[in-house]
Amino acid sequence: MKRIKCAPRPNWQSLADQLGFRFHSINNQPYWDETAYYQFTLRQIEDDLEAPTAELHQMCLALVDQILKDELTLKQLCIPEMYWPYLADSWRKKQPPIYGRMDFSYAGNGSAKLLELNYDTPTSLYEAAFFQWVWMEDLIRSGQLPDTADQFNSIQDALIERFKFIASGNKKLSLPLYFSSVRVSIEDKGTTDYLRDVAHQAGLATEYIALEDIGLNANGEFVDLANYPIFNLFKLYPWEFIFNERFGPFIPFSPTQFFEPAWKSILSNKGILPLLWQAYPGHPNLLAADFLTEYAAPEAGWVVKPLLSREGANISMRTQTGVVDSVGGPYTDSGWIRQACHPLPNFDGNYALVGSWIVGDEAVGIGIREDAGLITQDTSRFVPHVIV
Amino acid sequence: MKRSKTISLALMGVCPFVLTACSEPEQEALIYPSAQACIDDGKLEALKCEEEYAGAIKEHERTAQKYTSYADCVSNLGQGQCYQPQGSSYFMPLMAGYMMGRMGGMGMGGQWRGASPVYHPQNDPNSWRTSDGRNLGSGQGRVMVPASATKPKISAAARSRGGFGSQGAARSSWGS
Repeated sequence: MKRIKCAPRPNWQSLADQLGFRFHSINNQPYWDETAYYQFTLRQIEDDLEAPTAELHQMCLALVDQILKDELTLKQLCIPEMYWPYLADSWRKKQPPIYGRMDFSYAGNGSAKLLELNYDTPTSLYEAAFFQWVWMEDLIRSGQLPDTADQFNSIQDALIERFKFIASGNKKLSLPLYFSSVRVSIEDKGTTDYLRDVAHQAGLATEYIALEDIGLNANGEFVDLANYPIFNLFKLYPWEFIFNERFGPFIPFSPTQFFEPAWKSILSNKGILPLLWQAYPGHPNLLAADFLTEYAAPEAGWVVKPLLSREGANISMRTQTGVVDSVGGPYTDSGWIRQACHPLPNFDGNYALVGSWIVGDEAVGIGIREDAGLITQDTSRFVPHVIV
Repeated sequence: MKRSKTISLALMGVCPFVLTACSEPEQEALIYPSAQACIDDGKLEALKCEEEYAGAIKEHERTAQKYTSYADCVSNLGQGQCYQPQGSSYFMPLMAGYMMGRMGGMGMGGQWRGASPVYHPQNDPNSWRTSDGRNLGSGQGRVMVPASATKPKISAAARSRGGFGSQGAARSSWGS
């Protein structure tokens, strides 16, 4: 694993605009950063990232089954009791997930360490699956990369197959699959639009609706702006928010199938990290973790994280050598865990995080985020990668 | 190769594949007056014919217009087109058959499903219409119908909106 500087394509911004990448820059700073790329060997990809991702995914699924039967753990994860039967039902009916992402600290040697799971509302999908792919093809065409270069990225192929699979097992998917996100986030809209595009390419009928526009009728059906019932809904919005919102309690009685399904809320909860460690202590891809009874500033060698948070918010860490970093945020209303600190590797002054994508149950690609700080946030730059 | 074989966008971006809709696109559908007619046609397995028929009846009960008086029903739908469901106080149109849409489209050879009830238009026992009055022609078996005719039917207007997304504004960022 090397970081290699390279010349950006002169037209990359206009290309990004043309291809619907509306958030390629954030506050006039590039979010998509092609002034460098990461180079992996095939062995690093297959042995150190692909295989562990697939294995950890299976370990996670096994845990879901146990957790759903264990009221103490559900309580520990702060999942409201009124939704327990609905979660269990969504799992028993095998309501299919579409995708998820695991974040690893990996430096090119040794075991990749799982930092967290993003299994409910993962973003950075378009840039990993699509724009990164286009970037590499361009560089092969211009001769900057050899035509033997490859990329661990069959995400779009896998998504198309996944949507076809989901449609083939679901009678309701003869009706449109609605994609929704909240109005204020163009990044979320980008990820949602991309998934909708891929579903369309897979042959599904699709619609978009802003999450805030969804209605509820007297029959307990969620409806679109024209009052058509929504039977299939992809929502790029955390389950733990939905649980506490006005329409949440109507979900168990509605005919709507949600994507991601409700059982995924167990895996997007950071409490899964200590639970994984309890179930598989010493696993080479896991870091030691336990639940905290209340918030406490981290001791040396530990990271403290809220059970429920997004984009690095409310995380604080103290490395073994005493370096302290923390990110503020609004997620102070759930419980806390701590996880052994395994700082991200630094390449030329950039801390790099490997996001490893799961589609269905397969490990299908990676995307890399870089930041000047140790904690990856929503503004951390996306940097492409190649396999040579 | 560890990457996607081809890549494309259909909807995003400034130059998507343009689906010009000068007239409403049509979609393949199957229409039968009964499960038996479906079975006799041989395009679907018997069990599928029956399952979808049962689904259409449920949909009929859910979405068909309900009248408080027999006279109102007959004046809207015509003689012989109304009945009173057992144990109910209202009147409904007689379901004349059922329609299954082809899932998706896009030439993926999708499956037939999502059955909805069809009815006879007033004074026209040989044609079909949807519960909200769209004309489906008079064909039986495999037919072409307006794509929107296979959409789900409205059962009731929204009583309330805005019950999702309230914490979005408060926290502004939740993708992960």
